Amino acid sequence: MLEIKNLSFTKTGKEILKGLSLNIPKNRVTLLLGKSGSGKTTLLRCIAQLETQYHGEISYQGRPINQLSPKERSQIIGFISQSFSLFPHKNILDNCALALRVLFGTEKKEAYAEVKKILRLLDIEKLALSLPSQLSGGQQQRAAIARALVLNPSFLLFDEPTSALDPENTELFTEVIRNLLKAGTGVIIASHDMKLASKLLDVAYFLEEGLFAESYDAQIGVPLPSGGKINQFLSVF
Amino acid sequence: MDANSYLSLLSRSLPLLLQGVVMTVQILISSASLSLLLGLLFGIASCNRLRIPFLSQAIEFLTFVLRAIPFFVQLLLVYFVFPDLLGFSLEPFPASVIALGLCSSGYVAQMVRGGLNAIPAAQWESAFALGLNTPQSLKHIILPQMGRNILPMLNNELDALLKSTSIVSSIGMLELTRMGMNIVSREMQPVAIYLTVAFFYICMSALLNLIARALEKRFLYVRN
Repeated sequence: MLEIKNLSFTKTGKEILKGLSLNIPKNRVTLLLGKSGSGKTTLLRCIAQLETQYHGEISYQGRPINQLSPKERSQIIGFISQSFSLFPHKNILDNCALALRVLFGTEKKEAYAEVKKILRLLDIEKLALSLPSQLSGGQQQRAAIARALVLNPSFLLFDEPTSALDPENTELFTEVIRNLLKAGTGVIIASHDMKLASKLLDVAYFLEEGLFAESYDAQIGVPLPSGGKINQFLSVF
Repeated sequence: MDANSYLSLLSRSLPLLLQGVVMTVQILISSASLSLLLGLLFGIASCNRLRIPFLSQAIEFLTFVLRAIPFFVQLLLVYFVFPDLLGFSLEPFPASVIALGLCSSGYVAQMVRGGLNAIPAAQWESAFALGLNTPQSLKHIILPQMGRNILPMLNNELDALLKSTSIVSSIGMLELTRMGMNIVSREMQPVAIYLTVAFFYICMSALLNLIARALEKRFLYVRN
């Protein structure tokens, strides 16, 4: 469980997050929904420690995330940006093996074998020797997921994962997410894609101006309020 | 001058000119190494993402001074003024290498700074998210991309450095230009000798360009 307590974040004088508190479970999809500028990406970036000047606490199993070493943190939280940000000078195999080799000193052969297993699971094994620029958007995304999965993080964070994908790849992405859940990884997605949200709806928070306007948990069994923010958001689709 | 007398002049002068070429290459390699090392350190310390309070400003000021003073003046300062002020003596070779290396490092630092600032923030963030610290990110992710991007500019700078080596002849370095001058004063054939000297500079410059092109090709990738 990832615990967030009273999280506030201000940038250039503007208060973007206003004292948010939430618990994010493993094995489930947590959707951060809302319009552009509502604070969902900032919340994701704070969890990933890409923004560190926040107030409040983000902790995993009682340990504040910002006190962990980079190596420890990378095994708890994996982050996949909107543009996937693969390293353009390395092929997919080297992109994915880099962290294993640098952080854990894994031998090249061993690291490659580990990476190939994950590439096979994501059905991109034959692209192992390709450069990122030779891949389509969907393939790049799967390569970025593979790169994060190599470290076996407890949570995978996605920022607007489908903004660069066509409908077919969006469908493939939802399948990949379901497989991640089966493997026990917690998934946190910041998105304004209604189609994706409706497919993966499990735990959801609707953000408005840095505050939660509404939250939803499918396991509680209470249906979405018909006039509520999340329902309105989904019904646009 | 007919062809036979030119060939005879060339056979007498070539060994000395080649000695000059060797000395020029030695000065170039030594000063380029110093320039790249200092330029890299200065550039990293002054890029937007890794600014260190006071140190970055001090380095920016230093690189500005290195670019503002003409190379010939820097050479005179390194060879005559500083040894005199500090009470030690400096041979022409180390003085030439230090002056050339320092002067060029001011320009290399600017290229490195610009090259680092041009790397998308998402590349730094991806490296951070994978658990890499700043030195690891620089080594594996940022510097290789920066190096590829600034290769054409570095090639220009090395070309300029090659040509600046001719100025160190003024403190008695027996490099290619000084060798040519010495031969001219003995043979009294300035046209043939200086054209030959110019030809050697063109050959060295062409070689540098070939190496740079080969490196660019070797590290070619398309940014996504």
